[in-house]
Amino acid sequence: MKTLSLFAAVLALAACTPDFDPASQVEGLRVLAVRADPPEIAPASSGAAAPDRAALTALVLRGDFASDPARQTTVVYLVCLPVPGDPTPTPCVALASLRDPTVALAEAASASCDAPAAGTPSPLIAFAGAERCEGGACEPVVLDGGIALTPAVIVPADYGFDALPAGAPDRILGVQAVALAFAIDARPEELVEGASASCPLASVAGRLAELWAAREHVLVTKRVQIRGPEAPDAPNENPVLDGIAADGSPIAEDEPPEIATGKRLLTPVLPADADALRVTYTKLDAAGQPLESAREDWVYSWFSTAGDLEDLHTRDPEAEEWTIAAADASASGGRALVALVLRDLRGGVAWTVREVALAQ
Amino acid sequence: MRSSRLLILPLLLGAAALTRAEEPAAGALTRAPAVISQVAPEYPPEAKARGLSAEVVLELDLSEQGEVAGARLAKPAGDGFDEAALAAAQKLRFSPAEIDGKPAAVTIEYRFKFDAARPAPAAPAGGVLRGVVLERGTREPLAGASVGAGEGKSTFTDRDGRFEMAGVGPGAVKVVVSDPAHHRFETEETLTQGKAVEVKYYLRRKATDAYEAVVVGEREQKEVTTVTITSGEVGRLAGVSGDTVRVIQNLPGVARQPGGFGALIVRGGNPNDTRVYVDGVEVPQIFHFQGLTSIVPSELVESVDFEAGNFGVRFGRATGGRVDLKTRDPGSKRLHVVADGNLFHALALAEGPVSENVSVALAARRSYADVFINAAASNLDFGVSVAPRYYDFQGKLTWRAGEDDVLRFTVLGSDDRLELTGVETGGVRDLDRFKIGTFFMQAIGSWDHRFSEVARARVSLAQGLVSEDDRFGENGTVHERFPITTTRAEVSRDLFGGALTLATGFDGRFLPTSTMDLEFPAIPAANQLPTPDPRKIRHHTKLQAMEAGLWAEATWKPLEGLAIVPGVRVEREVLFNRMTWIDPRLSLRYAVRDGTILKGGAGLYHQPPFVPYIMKEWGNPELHEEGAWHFMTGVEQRIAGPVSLDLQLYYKRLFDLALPSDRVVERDGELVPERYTNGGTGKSYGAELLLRWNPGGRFFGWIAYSLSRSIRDQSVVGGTLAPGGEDYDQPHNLIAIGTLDLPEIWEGFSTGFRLRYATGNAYRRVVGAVYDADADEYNGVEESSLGGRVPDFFQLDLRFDKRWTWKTWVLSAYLEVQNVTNRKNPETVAYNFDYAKSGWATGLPFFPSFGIRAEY
Repeated sequence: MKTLSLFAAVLALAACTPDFDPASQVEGLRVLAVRADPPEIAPASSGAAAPDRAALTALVLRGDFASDPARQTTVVYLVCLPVPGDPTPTPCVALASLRDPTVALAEAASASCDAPAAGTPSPLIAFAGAERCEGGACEPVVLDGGIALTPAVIVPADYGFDALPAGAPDRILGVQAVALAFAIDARPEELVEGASASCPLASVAGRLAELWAAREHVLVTKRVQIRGPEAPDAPNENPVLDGIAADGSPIAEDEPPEIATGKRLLTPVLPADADALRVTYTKLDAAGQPLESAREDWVYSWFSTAGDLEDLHTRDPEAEEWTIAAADASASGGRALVALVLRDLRGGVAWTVREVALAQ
Repeated sequence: MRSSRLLILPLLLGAAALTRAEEPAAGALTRAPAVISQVAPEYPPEAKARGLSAEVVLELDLSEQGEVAGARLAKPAGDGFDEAALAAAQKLRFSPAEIDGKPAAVTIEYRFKFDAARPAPAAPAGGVLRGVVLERGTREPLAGASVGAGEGKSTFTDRDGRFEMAGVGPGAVKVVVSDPAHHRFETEETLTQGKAVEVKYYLRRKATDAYEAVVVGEREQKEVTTVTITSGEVGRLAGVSGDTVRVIQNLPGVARQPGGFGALIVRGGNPNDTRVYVDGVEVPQIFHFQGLTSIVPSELVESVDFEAGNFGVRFGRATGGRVDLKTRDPGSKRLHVVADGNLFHALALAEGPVSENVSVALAARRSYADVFINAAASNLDFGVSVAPRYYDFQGKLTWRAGEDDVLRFTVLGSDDRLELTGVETGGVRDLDRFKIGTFFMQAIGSWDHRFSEVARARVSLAQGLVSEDDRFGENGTVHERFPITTTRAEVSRDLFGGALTLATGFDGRFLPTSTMDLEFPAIPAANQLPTPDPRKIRHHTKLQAMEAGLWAEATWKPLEGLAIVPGVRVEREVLFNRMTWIDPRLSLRYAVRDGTILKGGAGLYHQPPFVPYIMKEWGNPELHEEGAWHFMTGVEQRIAGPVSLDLQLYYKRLFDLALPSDRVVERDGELVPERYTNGGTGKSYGAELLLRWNPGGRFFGWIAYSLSRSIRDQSVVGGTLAPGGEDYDQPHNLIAIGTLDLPEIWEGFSTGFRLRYATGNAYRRVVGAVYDADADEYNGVEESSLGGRVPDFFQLDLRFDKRWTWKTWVLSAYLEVQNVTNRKNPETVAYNFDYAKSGWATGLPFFPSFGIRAEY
């Protein structure tokens, strides 16, 4: 049961691969993270200490933010809810639908617009909201009439854990809803233009499908934990990030400081109670049986729109080395964004974005 | 002493003079043996004093070289004459008899006449020159070498290289020793009247390898696809670093694996489709770390049999090919010691006779890359707890208990270890610890017994242990321990004068008390995105397993040169489920004329699915055996002199292959992923050409060309643990390889080359990408079929060998350069982080290596 041949092949070829730009360098449209708040939800009927819905939002950056600050990205969400006790894969993870994601859009639109016949099971895929993103921040799209398409994953009250016997793995482990996010270089108005009043979602899906191939886009998956009634630990929460420090000094959020060229050391700024937020939880195996207690493993992902970051991922107490050349300052118009995403590797996410001025 | 008068039977009477041939001779005596070294028997003193005369008739067994291999009294005379005649007979030397134009062993009648009336000849003048002739460096006795001393005096060495001549000199005498395979040797000896001089001469071998080389195809065989490689040929081939098993990758029917690793992809199959044996006992791996060097050093390998398909019923449980590595018996004549070191490992070997009938060999080998890696550890991006290292050890004892019995005892073992810490994967989860530990050991006892000229038996029993100890960070651990008992037995009998041979046998592997402790996530499901943080499945079990086969085979020779071999094999497999199957097979070989053999075969082959695919936790316990029909036809043609050709056409129909499935089924009242189904089908077909220049002269080598296609009827993305089938579809594969001795440039110098061209492997192109926001990495979305192909592969390797030979030891050194042209061969596609850009990941650049070896 080993992947040795793959490992050996990787070792052998490690020194002979093309030199690609690192993932930490943001050029063009990038989705750097998606947060579900809270990261763990539960059906209202379960009486659990978790709400029945999680708000979704994305961290979207553009490498050309300095030259085109008003450029907007629209993120449309679909959600697939699995059936507890049924391992059938949902369309959100099936390669057949992901080869042409617009098929999933049409399916979700149909599910949202067509009234289901009595007795038919809930659709596996459904529309789940949309948001408008600009300059590293996103907000829900509001239609004419004030209807906000707030992205969210909602668990039905009658979600099927009760049909499973006590001790069934899904009752302990829970299941994972999968959100499929379509981020496209387009304003929301372009998508809702000419939308049908009876079912605007079908029009949005159709318009999105038309633009998908023509515009810059990113397709994203985000898993949201639906808590089982026999889960052993308290519901997970998102970690918290207060900011980024450069060479020991926090970068102000409202007034971009000037950063000199050369090597800078970046570190996360955490709240005073960060240690308490890093909880200990029970690792479970695939049958729901406990393996061991473990403390959350926080991993930081670093991104920038200018300069070179040494590592994509760091862990406490490592600092990130950011090298800024003079050419970077002039190429970026003297401005750069630095983004830091913190993951607790249990679905919890936090991020912070800071703008800096690069000395020319 | 009275002289004897030798009376030689009128051998020109032809076949009537043959009382019995050692082998049933099919032809006629075309050349009778003739005495070339006469010996006068010693007249028994008592008989001489009594004035007795006598005639002693002996039966002499003459070898193919004309030596006296055995002597018996046919008509004794008593009074000491018999003993004198038998003693003298051992020293006789004959020119070889020939049957059908080829040297052959024969038995003749020979008479010694003792005539008391004749006066004893006067003692010859001069002295006695006696001694032994050995090969320089190897100390191998040279039989049949001509020794001339002075004018008109000459003799031949016997099987032990010994000679004796009386009446040489007196005074300084020029001695000349010659042999077809060795340089002429001349020296001067001084002899004194009535005294003996003992000498030892060392002859230098001419420009051929010190190892004996056996020409492929000459041996009696029923198999239709077998190619045999001997260690003598391998030692100096370019590009294989002297590894006998890696040579197989240079034969037709074997695809090239990216990265140049050692997995055997035979006729488009998966690596698991081909089973590997050492002396008939299956081994869990044939290469260290699944692809570096083979686990048995070439110094202990007699030959490697490789069958790409259509193998007989003696072996089963494989739908691909078969590799059987045969270890050689330890040298029985003298002590032989080897010390060898190259870029990868060092070897020590010692062998020799313990008694007249018992010989022993011991060898061990260890890699030393870990020394360099440990020294450079501080400069690496990850920690090194145990640098990659391997070692292997072998021991063999051969006991020739009698004319009809040979017993062998072999021990071999292998250990691979590495442990790294803090291995970055590029994702959010690194591997805190990456550990590989594979150990296995086998003790094999075998007994070959000949009941008679027409009946034989072979029994072997092996006890082995395989253990695996791996860790892949948080992803999983493997702890397995398998004591394995392996047995193989067969009996055969010739009937109707050899026109029919019946054979039957049994082979089995028994695992009575194995333990498996696995903690591993599910194999990524087919046709889906992988889960970013899959939970571990735990499997702890003590299990009992068995695989056994019973077979029967007939070899029918209805016509001269025609052999038809039908056979049937019944198998039973018990592991996580139970499987039974029956495989009928048929092959035929027809020597239509001298040097031309037509061959063909058809057969059914089954194998159990890959073990993880039938485990309840990771696979489908309802899977049953996979199958394949093999069909082949071909011709072997001796072209001229040492050049021979082997051409084969083959077709394989594959069915019931384990195919990843994304369906959900109900099992034991529960909905579960099906994971695998026996719904896979496919085919592979092609033509294979082997044009070979056989060893024995200054040059040997071959050209191997394979035209092959490997097609699967279903396309599934993901769900497997390793690529296979269509992934190794390489329509064209051409290899030219050769070694040339160049004594004109430098005595003991040779050079070799390997030129390789192969179509690149097919691959699934990425048609999109999905960013996994939890894993912070992109997953490529592949097309459903293999629409892309890596550019073609081309590589030239060169090798240079030099050998220094002293009287009793030999020093060799080699320099090998792989990819002399430094071509950047693409091996696989590489993508950037979001699959928006791609390029080629290329293989090893210009790569020199070297080795040195001392041999006593």
